[in-house]
Amino acid sequence: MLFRVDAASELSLADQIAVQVRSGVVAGSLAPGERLPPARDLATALQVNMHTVLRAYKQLRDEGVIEMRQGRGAFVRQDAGPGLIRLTELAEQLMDEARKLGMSQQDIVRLIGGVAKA
Amino acid sequence: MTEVQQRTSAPRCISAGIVGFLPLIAVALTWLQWQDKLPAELASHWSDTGAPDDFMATGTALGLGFALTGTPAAIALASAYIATLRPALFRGIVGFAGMISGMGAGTWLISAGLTLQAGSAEKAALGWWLAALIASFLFGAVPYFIAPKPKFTSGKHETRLPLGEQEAGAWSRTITSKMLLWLPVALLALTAVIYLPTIQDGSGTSWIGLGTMLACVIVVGLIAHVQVTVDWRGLRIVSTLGRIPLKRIKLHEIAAVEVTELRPSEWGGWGYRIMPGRSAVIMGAGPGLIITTTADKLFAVTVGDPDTAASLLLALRDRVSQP
Repeated sequence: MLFRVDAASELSLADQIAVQVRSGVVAGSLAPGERLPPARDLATALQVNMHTVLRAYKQLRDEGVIEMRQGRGAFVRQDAGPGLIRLTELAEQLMDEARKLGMSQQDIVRLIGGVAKA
Repeated sequence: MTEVQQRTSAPRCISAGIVGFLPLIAVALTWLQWQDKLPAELASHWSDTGAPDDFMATGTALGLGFALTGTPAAIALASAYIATLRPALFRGIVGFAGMISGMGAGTWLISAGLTLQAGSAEKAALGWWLAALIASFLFGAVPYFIAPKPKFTSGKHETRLPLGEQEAGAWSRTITSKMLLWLPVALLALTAVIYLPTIQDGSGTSWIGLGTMLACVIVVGLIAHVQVTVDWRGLRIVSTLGRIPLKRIKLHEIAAVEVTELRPSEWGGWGYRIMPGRSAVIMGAGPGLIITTTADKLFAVTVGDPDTAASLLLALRDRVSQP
Protein backbone atom coordinates (compact mmCIF):
# COMPACT_ATOMS: atom_id res chain seq x y z
CA MET A 1 0.00 0.00 0.00
CA LEU A 2 1.11 3.53 -0.79
CA PHE A 3 1.35 6.04 2.03
CA ARG A 4 2.11 9.68 1.41
CA VAL A 5 2.18 12.62 3.79
CA ASP A 6 2.50 16.24 2.83
CA ALA A 7 3.87 18.67 5.39
CA ALA A 8 2.23 21.50 3.42
CA SER A 9 -1.27 19.99 3.79
CA GLU A 10 -3.91 21.50 6.08
CA LEU A 11 -4.59 18.04 7.46
CA SER A 12 -2.38 16.80 10.26
CA LEU A 13 0.14 14.08 9.35
CA ALA A 14 -1.75 11.54 11.48
CA ASP A 15 -5.03 12.40 9.74
CA GLN A 16 -3.40 12.02 6.35
CA ILE A 17 -2.20 8.51 7.25
CA ALA A 18 -5.64 7.59 8.64
CA VAL A 19 -7.39 8.88 5.49
CA GLN A 20 -5.16 6.73 3.31
CA VAL A 21 -5.81 3.58 5.33
CA ARG A 22 -9.55 4.23 5.13
CA SER A 23 -9.31 4.82 1.39
CA GLY A 24 -7.24 1.67 1.02
CA VAL A 25 -9.89 -0.41 2.78
CA VAL A 26 -12.70 1.06 0.67
CA ALA A 27 -10.73 0.66 -2.58
CA GLY A 28 -9.87 -2.92 -1.69
CA SER A 29 -6.11 -2.40 -1.75
CA LEU A 30 -6.17 -3.21 1.97
CA ALA A 31 -8.06 -6.44 2.49
CA PRO A 32 -9.73 -7.44 5.77
CA GLY A 33 -7.18 -9.19 7.96
CA GLU A 34 -4.23 -7.53 6.21
CA ARG A 35 -1.44 -6.34 8.41
CA LEU A 36 -0.45 -2.69 8.36
CA PRO A 37 3.25 -1.81 8.44
CA PRO A 38 4.64 -1.67 11.97
CA ALA A 39 4.33 1.91 13.31
CA ARG A 40 8.08 2.24 13.77
CA ASP A 41 8.77 1.10 10.17
CA LEU A 42 6.13 3.38 8.66
CA ALA A 43 7.34 6.34 10.71
CA THR A 44 10.90 5.80 9.50
CA ALA A 45 9.73 5.32 5.90
CA LEU A 46 7.71 8.55 5.96
CA GLN A 47 10.25 10.39 8.12
CA VAL A 48 7.65 11.27 10.72
CA ASN A 49 7.51 10.69 14.48
CA MET A 50 6.41 7.21 15.51
CA HIS A 51 3.76 8.75 17.78
CA THR A 52 2.21 10.37 14.69
CA VAL A 53 1.69 6.94 13.13
CA LEU A 54 0.48 5.52 16.44
CA ARG A 55 -2.01 8.42 16.71
CA ALA A 56 -3.33 7.55 13.24
CA TYR A 57 -3.56 3.85 14.12
CA LYS A 58 -5.39 4.63 17.40
CA GLN A 59 -7.82 6.85 15.51
CA LEU A 60 -8.50 4.03 13.06
CA ARG A 61 -8.89 1.57 15.92
CA ASP A 62 -11.44 3.83 17.63
CA GLU A 63 -13.36 4.05 14.35
CA GLY A 64 -13.40 0.23 14.11
CA VAL A 65 -11.31 0.13 10.95
CA ILE A 66 -8.31 -1.70 12.39
CA GLU A 67 -7.50 -3.74 15.45
CA MET A 68 -4.27 -3.64 17.39
CA ARG A 69 -3.01 -7.02 18.52
CA GLN A 70 -0.59 -7.01 21.43
CA GLY A 71 2.91 -7.63 20.13
CA ARG A 72 1.70 -8.47 16.62
CA GLY A 73 0.87 -5.11 15.13
CA ALA A 74 -2.16 -3.53 13.48
CA PHE A 75 -4.56 -5.43 11.23
CA VAL A 76 -7.53 -4.38 9.14
CA ARG A 77 -10.67 -5.61 10.89
CA GLN A 78 -12.63 -8.34 9.17
CA ASP A 79 -15.80 -6.21 9.35
CA ALA A 80 -14.09 -2.97 8.30
CA GLY A 81 -15.28 -2.99 4.71
CA PRO A 82 -19.07 -2.45 4.63
CA GLY A 83 -19.17 0.34 7.22
CA LEU A 84 -16.50 2.30 5.45
CA ILE A 85 -18.16 1.85 2.08
CA ARG A 86 -21.37 3.31 3.58
CA LEU A 87 -19.34 6.19 4.97
CA THR A 88 -17.75 6.74 1.58
CA GLU A 89 -21.19 6.87 -0.04
CA LEU A 90 -22.24 9.49 2.48
CA ALA A 91 -19.03 11.43 1.80
CA GLU A 92 -19.74 11.34 -1.93
CA GLN A 93 -23.25 12.66 -1.31
CA LEU A 94 -21.75 15.42 0.84
CA MET A 95 -19.29 16.31 -1.94
CA ASP A 96 -22.09 16.43 -4.53
CA GLU A 97 -24.24 18.70 -2.38
CA ALA A 98 -21.27 20.95 -1.54
CA ARG A 99 -20.32 21.30 -5.21
CA LYS A 100 -23.90 22.30 -6.02
CA LEU A 101 -23.49 25.09 -3.48
CA GLY A 102 -20.22 26.12 -5.13
CA MET A 103 -18.03 25.13 -2.17
CA SER A 104 -14.35 24.37 -2.72
CA GLN A 105 -12.56 21.32 -1.30
CA GLN A 106 -10.93 23.52 1.34
CA ASP A 107 -14.35 24.87 2.35
CA ILE A 108 -15.60 21.29 2.80
CA VAL A 109 -12.58 20.35 4.91
CA ARG A 110 -13.16 23.46 7.03
CA LEU A 111 -16.86 22.59 7.35
CA ILE A 112 -16.11 19.05 8.51
CA GLY A 113 -13.47 20.36 10.89
CA GLY A 114 -16.03 22.71 12.38
CA VAL A 115 -18.59 19.93 12.78
CA ALA A 116 -15.99 17.70 14.42
CA LYS A 117 -15.12 20.41 16.95
CA ALA A 118 -18.77 21.13 17.75
CA MET B 1 14.73 -5.52 -33.13
CA THR B 2 13.29 -8.80 -31.84
CA GLU B 3 13.50 -10.42 -35.29
CA VAL B 4 17.18 -9.48 -35.63
CA GLN B 5 17.90 -10.94 -32.19
CA GLN B 6 16.12 -14.18 -33.10
CA ARG B 7 17.98 -14.54 -36.40
CA THR B 8 21.38 -13.86 -34.87
CA SER B 9 20.86 -16.09 -31.85
CA ALA B 10 19.47 -19.10 -33.75
CA PRO B 11 22.88 -20.54 -34.73
CA ARG B 12 24.07 -20.26 -31.15
CA CYS B 13 20.95 -22.05 -29.89
CA ILE B 14 21.49 -24.90 -32.34
CA SER B 15 25.23 -24.99 -31.55
CA ALA B 16 24.46 -25.22 -27.84
CA GLY B 17 22.15 -28.16 -28.57
CA ILE B 18 24.67 -29.92 -30.83
CA VAL B 19 27.63 -29.44 -28.45
CA GLY B 20 25.59 -31.37 -25.91
CA PHE B 21 26.25 -34.51 -27.99
CA LEU B 22 30.05 -34.35 -27.45
CA PRO B 23 29.93 -36.60 -24.34
CA LEU B 24 27.88 -39.16 -26.34
CA ILE B 25 30.46 -39.04 -29.16
CA ALA B 26 33.26 -39.46 -26.60
CA VAL B 27 31.57 -42.58 -25.21
CA ALA B 28 30.99 -43.98 -28.73
CA LEU B 29 34.54 -43.31 -29.97
CA THR B 30 36.23 -44.77 -26.88
CA TRP B 31 34.04 -47.83 -27.07
CA LEU B 32 34.99 -48.34 -30.74
CA GLN B 33 38.64 -47.90 -29.79
CA TRP B 34 38.60 -50.11 -26.68
CA GLN B 35 35.90 -52.71 -27.40
CA ASP B 36 38.33 -55.55 -28.19
CA LYS B 37 40.57 -54.80 -25.19
CA LEU B 38 37.99 -54.31 -22.44
CA PRO B 39 37.38 -57.17 -19.99
CA ALA B 40 33.87 -58.49 -19.27
CA GLU B 41 33.62 -56.41 -16.09
CA LEU B 42 34.55 -52.84 -15.21
CA ALA B 43 35.20 -51.25 -11.83
CA SER B 44 32.11 -49.16 -11.10
CA HIS B 45 32.47 -48.11 -7.47
CA TRP B 46 35.39 -47.34 -5.20
CA SER B 47 35.86 -47.35 -1.45
CA ASP B 48 37.31 -44.37 0.43
CA THR B 49 40.78 -45.93 0.06
CA GLY B 50 40.44 -45.67 -3.73
CA ALA B 51 40.28 -49.46 -4.26
CA PRO B 52 37.35 -50.76 -6.36
CA ASP B 53 34.60 -52.37 -4.27
CA ASP B 54 31.86 -52.92 -6.86
CA PHE B 55 31.83 -54.04 -10.48
CA MET B 56 29.52 -53.89 -13.48
CA ALA B 57 29.27 -55.83 -16.73
CA THR B 58 30.95 -53.87 -19.54
CA GLY B 59 27.78 -53.98 -21.64
CA THR B 60 25.70 -52.55 -18.82
CA ALA B 61 28.24 -49.78 -18.17
CA LEU B 62 28.26 -48.95 -21.88
CA GLY B 63 24.44 -48.90 -22.00
CA LEU B 64 24.38 -46.58 -19.00
CA GLY B 65 27.01 -44.39 -20.64
CA PHE B 66 24.94 -44.06 -23.81
CA ALA B 67 21.71 -43.47 -21.88
CA LEU B 68 23.21 -40.84 -19.57
CA THR B 69 24.84 -38.94 -22.43
CA GLY B 70 22.29 -39.43 -25.22
CA THR B 71 19.03 -38.74 -23.37
CA PRO B 72 19.96 -35.32 -21.91
CA ALA B 73 21.60 -34.28 -25.20
CA ALA B 74 18.44 -35.18 -27.14
CA ILE B 75 16.24 -33.30 -24.64
CA ALA B 76 18.54 -30.26 -24.82
CA LEU B 77 18.47 -30.21 -28.62
CA ALA B 78 14.68 -30.68 -28.68
CA SER B 79 14.27 -27.75 -26.29
CA ALA B 80 15.88 -25.44 -28.88
CA TYR B 81 12.39 -24.73 -30.20
CA ILE B 82 11.62 -22.73 -27.06
CA ALA B 83 14.97 -20.93 -27.17
CA THR B 84 13.64 -17.70 -28.63
CA LEU B 85 10.46 -17.76 -26.55
CA ARG B 86 12.05 -18.70 -23.21
CA PRO B 87 15.81 -18.12 -23.60
CA ALA B 88 16.57 -18.32 -19.88
CA LEU B 89 14.79 -21.67 -19.56
CA PHE B 90 16.59 -22.99 -22.65
CA ARG B 91 19.93 -21.95 -21.21
CA GLY B 92 19.12 -23.70 -17.96
CA ILE B 93 18.06 -26.88 -19.78
CA VAL B 94 21.19 -27.12 -21.95
CA GLY B 95 23.39 -26.36 -18.93
CA PHE B 96 21.75 -29.00 -16.74
CA ALA B 97 21.66 -31.54 -19.58
CA GLY B 98 25.38 -30.87 -20.14
CA MET B 99 26.10 -31.57 -16.48
CA ILE B 100 24.29 -34.93 -16.62
CA SER B 101 25.80 -36.01 -19.93
CA GLY B 102 29.27 -34.83 -18.81
CA MET B 103 28.92 -36.92 -15.66
CA GLY B 104 27.69 -39.89 -17.77
CA ALA B 105 30.68 -39.69 -20.09
CA GLY B 106 33.08 -39.11 -17.21
CA THR B 107 31.82 -42.20 -15.38
CA TRP B 108 32.22 -44.37 -18.48
CA LEU B 109 35.65 -42.99 -19.40
CA ILE B 110 37.06 -43.38 -15.89
CA SER B 111 35.46 -46.79 -15.33
CA ALA B 112 36.58 -48.22 -18.67
CA GLY B 113 39.84 -46.28 -18.92
CA LEU B 114 41.09 -47.22 -15.43
CA THR B 115 40.12 -50.87 -15.88
CA LEU B 116 41.90 -50.96 -19.23
CA GLN B 117 44.99 -49.27 -17.83
CA ALA B 118 45.17 -51.55 -14.78
CA GLY B 119 44.58 -54.70 -16.82
CA SER B 120 41.61 -55.88 -14.71
CA ALA B 121 38.66 -54.40 -12.84
CA GLU B 122 40.02 -55.55 -9.46
CA LYS B 123 43.24 -53.54 -9.89
CA ALA B 124 41.62 -50.30 -11.17
CA ALA B 125 42.43 -47.87 -8.34
CA LEU B 126 40.65 -44.52 -8.52
CA GLY B 127 43.25 -42.18 -7.00
CA TRP B 128 43.18 -38.61 -8.27
CA TRP B 129 40.77 -39.56 -11.05
CA LEU B 130 38.02 -38.81 -8.52
CA ALA B 131 38.69 -35.13 -9.21
CA ALA B 132 38.23 -35.76 -12.95
CA LEU B 133 34.92 -37.48 -12.25
CA ILE B 134 33.70 -34.48 -10.26
CA ALA B 135 35.05 -32.09 -12.90
CA SER B 136 33.07 -33.88 -15.62
CA PHE B 137 29.99 -32.05 -14.28
CA LEU B 138 31.60 -28.82 -15.44
CA PHE B 139 30.94 -29.80 -19.05
CA GLY B 140 27.51 -28.26 -18.47
CA ALA B 141 29.16 -24.83 -18.62
CA VAL B 142 30.06 -25.35 -22.31
CA PRO B 143 26.52 -25.47 -23.79
CA TYR B 144 25.36 -23.02 -21.11
CA PHE B 145 27.74 -20.31 -22.29
CA ILE B 146 27.26 -21.13 -25.99
CA ALA B 147 23.50 -20.59 -25.61
CA PRO B 148 22.61 -16.93 -26.16
CA LYS B 149 22.62 -14.82 -23.05
CA PRO B 150 18.98 -14.04 -22.31
CA LYS B 151 17.81 -10.48 -21.95
CA PHE B 152 15.86 -10.12 -18.75
CA THR B 153 14.81 -6.55 -19.26
CA SER B 154 12.87 -5.39 -22.28
CA GLY B 155 11.89 -1.88 -21.34
CA LYS B 156 11.93 0.82 -18.72
CA HIS B 157 9.21 2.07 -16.47
CA GLU B 158 8.98 5.79 -17.13
CA THR B 159 6.04 6.94 -14.97
CA ARG B 160 6.88 8.95 -11.87
CA LEU B 161 4.52 9.31 -8.94
CA PRO B 162 3.80 13.04 -8.62
CA LEU B 163 5.11 14.12 -5.24
CA GLY B 164 4.85 17.60 -3.78
CA GLU B 165 7.99 19.38 -2.63
CA GLN B 166 7.24 18.66 1.01
CA GLU B 167 5.56 15.36 0.39
CA ALA B 168 7.01 12.03 1.53
CA GLY B 169 5.95 8.71 0.02
CA ALA B 170 6.33 5.16 1.23
CA TRP B 171 5.05 1.95 -0.29
CA SER B 172 4.92 -1.31 1.58
CA ARG B 173 3.63 -4.75 0.75
CA THR B 174 3.92 -8.13 2.42
CA ILE B 175 4.19 -11.17 0.18
CA THR B 176 3.66 -14.77 1.15
CA SER B 177 4.73 -17.70 -0.96
CA LYS B 178 2.36 -20.57 -0.30
CA MET B 179 4.90 -23.01 -1.66
CA LEU B 180 7.71 -21.70 0.50
CA LEU B 181 5.35 -21.60 3.48
CA TRP B 182 4.55 -25.31 3.21
CA LEU B 183 8.10 -26.40 2.50
CA PRO B 184 9.45 -25.75 6.04
CA VAL B 185 6.34 -27.42 7.48
CA ALA B 186 7.03 -30.49 5.32
CA LEU B 187 10.74 -30.38 6.24
CA LEU B 188 9.86 -30.15 9.93
CA ALA B 189 7.52 -33.13 9.63
CA LEU B 190 10.23 -35.08 7.81
CA THR B 191 12.75 -34.16 10.51
CA ALA B 192 10.35 -35.38 13.20
CA VAL B 193 9.75 -38.67 11.36
CA ILE B 194 13.48 -39.29 10.92
CA TYR B 195 14.87 -38.12 14.25
CA LEU B 196 12.12 -38.45 16.90
CA PRO B 197 12.30 -42.30 17.01
CA THR B 198 16.10 -42.18 17.42
CA ILE B 199 15.81 -39.64 20.24
CA GLN B 200 13.04 -41.63 21.97
CA ASP B 201 14.74 -45.04 21.86
CA GLY B 202 18.22 -43.59 22.40
CA SER B 203 19.59 -45.50 19.40
CA GLY B 204 22.00 -42.72 18.50
CA THR B 205 20.88 -39.45 16.99
CA SER B 206 22.91 -37.69 14.31
CA TRP B 207 22.91 -34.25 15.91
CA ILE B 208 24.71 -32.77 12.90
CA GLY B 209 21.99 -34.13 10.60
CA LEU B 210 19.24 -32.88 12.93
CA GLY B 211 20.88 -29.46 13.17
CA THR B 212 21.22 -29.25 9.39
CA MET B 213 17.57 -30.12 8.87
CA LEU B 214 16.43 -27.53 11.43
CA ALA B 215 18.71 -24.91 9.85
CA CYS B 216 17.07 -25.66 6.47
CA VAL B 217 13.62 -25.20 8.06
CA ILE B 218 14.65 -21.77 9.41
CA VAL B 219 16.31 -20.61 6.18
CA VAL B 220 13.32 -21.59 4.01
CA GLY B 221 10.94 -20.12 6.61
CA LEU B 222 12.77 -16.78 6.50
CA ILE B 223 11.99 -16.29 2.83
CA ALA B 224 8.39 -17.55 2.93
CA HIS B 225 6.92 -14.27 4.16
CA VAL B 226 8.65 -11.02 3.33
CA GLN B 227 7.92 -7.31 3.42
CA VAL B 228 8.94 -5.13 0.49
CA THR B 229 9.28 -1.41 1.19
CA VAL B 230 10.02 1.54 -1.06
CA ASP B 231 10.85 4.83 0.63
CA TRP B 232 13.51 7.55 0.84
CA ARG B 233 16.10 4.87 1.60
CA GLY B 234 15.38 2.92 -1.59
CA LEU B 235 14.05 -0.63 -1.88
CA ARG B 236 14.30 -2.94 1.10
CA ILE B 237 13.17 -6.50 1.61
CA VAL B 238 12.98 -7.93 5.11
CA SER B 239 11.77 -11.26 6.35
CA THR B 240 8.78 -10.75 8.58
CA LEU B 241 10.20 -13.56 10.73
CA GLY B 242 12.59 -11.72 13.01
CA ARG B 243 12.72 -8.66 10.72
CA ILE B 244 15.90 -10.01 9.13
CA PRO B 245 17.03 -7.83 6.20
CA LEU B 246 17.35 -9.76 2.94
CA LYS B 247 18.04 -7.07 0.35
CA ARG B 248 18.60 -3.35 0.15
CA ILE B 249 19.12 -1.16 -2.91
CA LYS B 250 19.75 2.52 -2.21
CA LEU B 251 18.09 5.14 -4.41
CA HIS B 252 21.34 6.39 -5.93
CA GLU B 253 22.19 2.81 -6.96
CA ILE B 254 19.12 2.52 -9.18
CA ALA B 255 19.72 3.00 -12.89
CA ALA B 256 16.37 1.73 -14.26
CA VAL B 257 13.21 -0.03 -13.17
CA GLU B 258 10.97 -2.33 -15.17
CA VAL B 259 7.55 -3.73 -14.34
CA THR B 260 7.11 -7.17 -15.81
CA GLU B 261 5.83 -10.72 -15.34
CA LEU B 262 8.40 -12.85 -13.56
CA ARG B 263 8.75 -16.60 -13.97
CA PRO B 264 10.62 -18.74 -11.41
CA SER B 265 12.09 -20.80 -14.28
CA GLU B 266 13.93 -17.72 -15.54
CA TRP B 267 15.29 -16.68 -12.18
CA GLY B 268 16.56 -20.00 -10.88
CA GLY B 269 13.44 -21.09 -8.98
CA TRP B 270 11.66 -19.93 -5.84
CA GLY B 271 13.13 -18.02 -2.90
CA TYR B 272 16.28 -15.91 -2.74
CA ARG B 273 18.20 -16.61 -5.93
CA ILE B 274 21.76 -15.50 -6.65
CA MET B 275 23.17 -15.90 -10.16
CA PRO B 276 26.06 -14.28 -12.02
CA GLY B 277 25.12 -10.64 -12.57
CA ARG B 278 21.64 -10.94 -11.13
CA SER B 279 19.73 -11.91 -8.04
CA ALA B 280 16.07 -12.19 -7.15
CA VAL B 281 13.48 -12.81 -4.47
CA ILE B 282 10.94 -14.95 -6.28
CA MET B 283 7.78 -15.81 -4.38
CA GLY B 284 6.00 -17.34 -7.38
CA ALA B 285 5.06 -16.55 -10.95
CA GLY B 286 3.46 -13.16 -11.36
CA PRO B 287 3.98 -9.43 -11.61
CA GLY B 288 7.14 -7.95 -10.26
CA LEU B 289 9.94 -5.43 -10.54
CA ILE B 290 13.33 -5.72 -12.18
CA ILE B 291 15.81 -3.13 -10.99
CA THR B 292 18.96 -2.43 -12.97
CA THR B 293 21.61 -0.99 -10.70
CA THR B 294 24.27 1.51 -11.65
CA ALA B 295 26.76 -1.39 -11.40
CA ASP B 296 24.75 -3.06 -14.23
CA LYS B 297 23.41 -5.81 -11.97
CA LEU B 298 19.81 -6.97 -12.06
CA PHE B 299 17.56 -7.58 -9.08
CA ALA B 300 14.03 -8.95 -9.45
CA VAL B 301 11.26 -9.32 -6.91
CA THR B 302 7.74 -10.64 -7.37
CA VAL B 303 5.30 -8.28 -5.76
CA GLY B 304 1.70 -7.13 -6.14
CA ASP B 305 1.04 -3.65 -7.53
CA PRO B 306 4.56 -3.22 -8.95
CA ASP B 307 3.49 -0.15 -10.99
CA THR B 308 3.01 1.98 -7.87
CA ALA B 309 6.28 0.73 -6.38
CA ALA B 310 8.17 1.49 -9.59
CA SER B 311 6.62 4.96 -9.98
CA LEU B 312 7.45 5.89 -6.39
CA LEU B 313 10.96 4.46 -6.64
CA LEU B 314 11.70 6.55 -9.74
CA ALA B 315 10.16 9.70 -8.23
CA LEU B 316 12.29 9.32 -5.10
CA ARG B 317 15.39 8.42 -7.14
CA ASP B 318 14.94 11.54 -9.27
CA ARG B 319 14.63 13.62 -6.12
CA VAL B 320 18.02 12.47 -4.75
CA SER B 321 19.74 12.65 -8.14
CA GLN B 322 18.76 16.28 -8.64
CA PRO B 323 21.73 18.59 -8.09
